[in-house]
Parts: sequence; C-alpha cells; structure tokens
Amino acid sequence: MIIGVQLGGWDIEAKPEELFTSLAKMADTAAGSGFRLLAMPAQTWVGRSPTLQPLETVSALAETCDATLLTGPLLVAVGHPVDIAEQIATAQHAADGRLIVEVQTAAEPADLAAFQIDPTQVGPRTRESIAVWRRIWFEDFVDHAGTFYKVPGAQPTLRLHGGNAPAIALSVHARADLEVARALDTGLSMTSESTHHAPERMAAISTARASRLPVIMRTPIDTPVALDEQIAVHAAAGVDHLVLQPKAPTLPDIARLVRECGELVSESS
Amino acid sequence: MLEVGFHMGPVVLRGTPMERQWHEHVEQVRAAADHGFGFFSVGTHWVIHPFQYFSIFPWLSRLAAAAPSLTVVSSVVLIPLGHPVDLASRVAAIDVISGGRFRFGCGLGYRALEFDMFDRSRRHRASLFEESLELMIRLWSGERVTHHGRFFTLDDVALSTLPIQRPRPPIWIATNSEPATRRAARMGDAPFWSPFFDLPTLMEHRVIFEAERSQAGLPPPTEIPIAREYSVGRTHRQAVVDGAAGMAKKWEVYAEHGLQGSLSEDDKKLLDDFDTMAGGTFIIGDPAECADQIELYASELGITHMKLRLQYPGMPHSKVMERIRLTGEVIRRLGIT
Repeated sequence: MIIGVQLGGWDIEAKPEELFTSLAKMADTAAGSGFRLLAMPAQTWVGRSPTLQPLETVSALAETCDATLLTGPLLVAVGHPVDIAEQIATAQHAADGRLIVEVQTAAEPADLAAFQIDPTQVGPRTRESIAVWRRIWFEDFVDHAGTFYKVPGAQPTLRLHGGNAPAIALSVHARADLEVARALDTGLSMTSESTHHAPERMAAISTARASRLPVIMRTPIDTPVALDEQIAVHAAAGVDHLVLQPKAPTLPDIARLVRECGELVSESS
Repeated sequence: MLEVGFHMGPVVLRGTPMERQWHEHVEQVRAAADHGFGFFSVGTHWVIHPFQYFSIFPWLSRLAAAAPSLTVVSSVVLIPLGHPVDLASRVAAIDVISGGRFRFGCGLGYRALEFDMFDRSRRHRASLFEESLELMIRLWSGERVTHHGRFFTLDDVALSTLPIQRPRPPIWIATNSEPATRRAARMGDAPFWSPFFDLPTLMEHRVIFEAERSQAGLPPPTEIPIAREYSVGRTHRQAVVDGAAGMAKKWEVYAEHGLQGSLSEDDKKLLDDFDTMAGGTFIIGDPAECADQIELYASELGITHMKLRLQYPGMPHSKVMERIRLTGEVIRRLGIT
C-alpha cells in the first residue's frame, strides 16, 4: 500500500503569493515524513477556493520532491487532447516518470459553463480524448476526425519518459465511470465517502488490479487518523494507493495536519 | 537595467532521447542563472515535427523552480488557439509558481496545422486574439466577467486563482507588422518585436508604438524586450562557423511551417538570403563584439530585455553550455551583475 497525502484544495482563504510556497513546504514535510505519494486537488478554473493548475504544480514540485506525484482529477473534456497529451508528457518528464494522472468526468457546473461544454458530453469527450492521447504518445502519424476533436495528419514527436505512458486513474462518481474505466483500461480513483454501486465497483477494482492499474482511495481527514486500521480496511477492498485529504480551513492548518499525519506514517512504516 | 535572456525554442531534432533533452534544458537554465542571465523563455508549438518540444506551461513551471532567480517569459503563448479562461488560469498559475516573476509574451500563431487542429480560423486570428486577451485582462483583475462576444461567451465567471502581480503580469505582444505594433501598444505593456526587424525598422516601430500609446492615453512602456538570433564564439570565425548551419536549418523549417505567411514581403526576401538576414538582424561574434552589438540596441532603442537564442538544430549540449559561459562574459562586459 502506497500512502499519500493531498496538498490543499479545500475551501480555504489563501493569497496568491502564499499558495505555491505553502504547497512546496507541505510537500517537503510530507515527503520527509514518509509519504510516497503527493496528490493535487481537483482541477478547476472558476469560482472555487484558490488552487493552482495541477500539471503546472506537479511539474514545479518535482524540482525538489522525490515522491510520486498524482495530479488532481483533470477535467480533460474542456481542452484539446493533443494539448493535454503534450502537457501530461511534459509533466511526466518533469517528474522523471513519477507521475500518475487522474481524470474526472464529474465536473463543477461553473467550469463546464465557462467553457460552454454540454455536461452530457463530458463522458464521451473524455473517452475520445484519452484515446487520442495514446495515439499521440505512441504513433508516428495521427490523422483523427472524431465526434469532438480533430487531429489533421500530425506527426507527433513529444515522446514519454522511458517510453511508458503514465498510469491513468479515472475518478469514479457514477456507474458510467466504471464502464469508461473498463473500456479505456484505466485504473480507478474513489473517495471513501462514496459507497454506491458496490458490487460493480468491486468487480472493477479486481479488473484494475489484475491489469496492474492503480486503485486509489482518497479519504478526507480532519484529525490525524489511525493509519494501520485505515490501511487494513482499504487493502482488504483492493486499494493499493491511499491518499489522505487533510481538511482544514487555512493553509497553516492543512500543513499542521500533513505534519501530524506524517508522524503517523513514519510510525506505521 | 538591461537583462539578457536565454530562449529555448524548438531546436532539438526528432530522435534525441527526450529524457536527455529534458535534463539538458534544466542544466542549461541553471547555468544561465549562474552566468548572470536575467530571464529565460520558451515558446509554444504542438506536434512540431521535425523538432521535439515540450508543452509550455508545465515546462515553464519546472524551469521556474529550477532557476528561481530568473524572470520567466513565455515567448510566446498563441492566444487564438486557446480559451481565455484556461489561458488566464495557467498564466496565473505560472505567475504564482514563479513568485510573481512572469512576463506574459503572447502572439497570434501561424501554423496551418495548429489552427486546423484547434478548429480556429487563421483568417480571424487577430480578432480572436483581441477578444480573448481583453477577457483575460478582466479575469486577472478579479472581475466577475459576463461577456457575450463574437467568439466567447462567459456568464458571471471569476478565476479561482489570481496572479501575484497586480493588476496582472506584464503583457508583451509579439509583432511582425505595423498593425501588430499598434495592437501591442493599445492592448499590451510592451512590444515583443520580430527577430527579423533590423535596428532601423525597430526604431521606426518604437515611434509608432509610442505614438499609438500616447493617442490612447497610455504611458510610455517601462519594458522594451527584443529577440535576436545569436551566435557567440571565442573568436568571430568560430561564432560564424558554429552558428550558420544551425540558423539556416531552423529558418528553413520555420519557412516550411508557414512562418513566411506572417511576414512582410521584405521579410520574405530576408528568408531567402541568409547573409543579408544575418548582417542586419543577428548578433554574431566574440564576446566583445556581441557586447558591442547588444549595447547598440540598448543605447539606440532603449531596450530592457534582450532575448537570445543560444541553441540551433544539431548543436550539442556541450556547445550550448560553452555559449552560456561565453554569454556570461558578454553580460559582464555589459556591466550587468
């Protein structure tokens, strides 16, 4: 079981000038405490608490951090797949290959509205986008005319770190997400608060584990938790990446929780 | 104070191991910081065969962390190919990550493949640019934006994260023509003139720029950045030999990609004649000669930022590192510490 921690992302008041420096300090503390995975909050553009774009953030944190980096759930339906594929490949190089990409289909309505994206198209756009990424990453010539996106006879040259695609995990919010994950051969990312579709979910977890794809559980905490118990419960359910989400109103409070949880990780390991 | 910058354009040819390319770029930007450069910049292209090139915002972010003393410049973001909300958010992110050291260089773009891929009309690129940049400026100010325009619709949209610099990072607008210089004067903070313009042309455009700003009730610019092709060697001969082949190859590929379509008829002639272009617009020589040429731009044009391209196709990393060290000597001669 790989134990990780999410850096920020709740409804916090944070000034722009303290946002990245706080994250970088938290990342140092977390990595120094034994967390092997650092996770970003969900990608958003408008109307929520201050967060930075996930791929930019993991790329910058990789300068000083040796842990594996997990993007926040990316809302890939709003961008062009060639752009996103090249952003991911760049972030993967920045992280020396230590990157896991999380993708979401359940978007904030405000984000979709800002990009004029029909909510019913998010799932189909995501499927087409991920399929295009894989062509851009591995094929020498891509000519694609899909339902939503076009790639007119391009010759991709931005290759992946080590020639390997980063692991992709789809955030599971609905039964349809399980189907998308199976169709696209991606791992899964869940929250401990979501218990719906249990039988289907268990089947999807088994499939992902059999294919050596990541099964990630994000679990919110507001006090340091007994990690051994959490690990045992989630490992029994097939989870192989446990991400603690310190939930607090300010960046210093989150940093304190990260530090306290880190002490428990050190003890646990 | 004049700052010298290191531009990393698409110059590495397909087939080079990308892990090696990445680590060489990081080493180069760290060396640039150590040798007195003031800024670094990278550009934007997608599927840029025959080169291999990283994606601008994650790349800038990592390099900003690797060289925290340097100003970070996008050179340039192609605004018509993006969405204003996304670009505004990414610019805010890099401004935050760099601690407020970002200059937003932006331009129109020219490659037909890119416009086709993003389903944008190249014919409307100037209108797209203007509508999009106006929206980005409003979003960076913290305004909740409602806008029903020709290309974009926003209803009560506010960015979740604002840049550190208020009201926004300085905007440098790439210009290849008189209308573009006028646009840069009205909409930006500085012109980012074509590396094709020679000094007399640059001086003409500076007059146009300032007149346009005055007419719009805007103050003179506080920053004047320019870009130059560049080859420094221990001797003049070494600079010419090292640089000529790579420069010619680079412009040959740019011409294939359609850059000529962005240029005036005079510029097109220059593309056909390397010697003429090098004579009027390149900085070539030993460190003393290069310092003299840069000094000329500073004294005649009042530039504040000199963006130099140090690497050309086929040039090995060791040669780039040597050029960074030699440019450090140029910088010392210019009196920049």
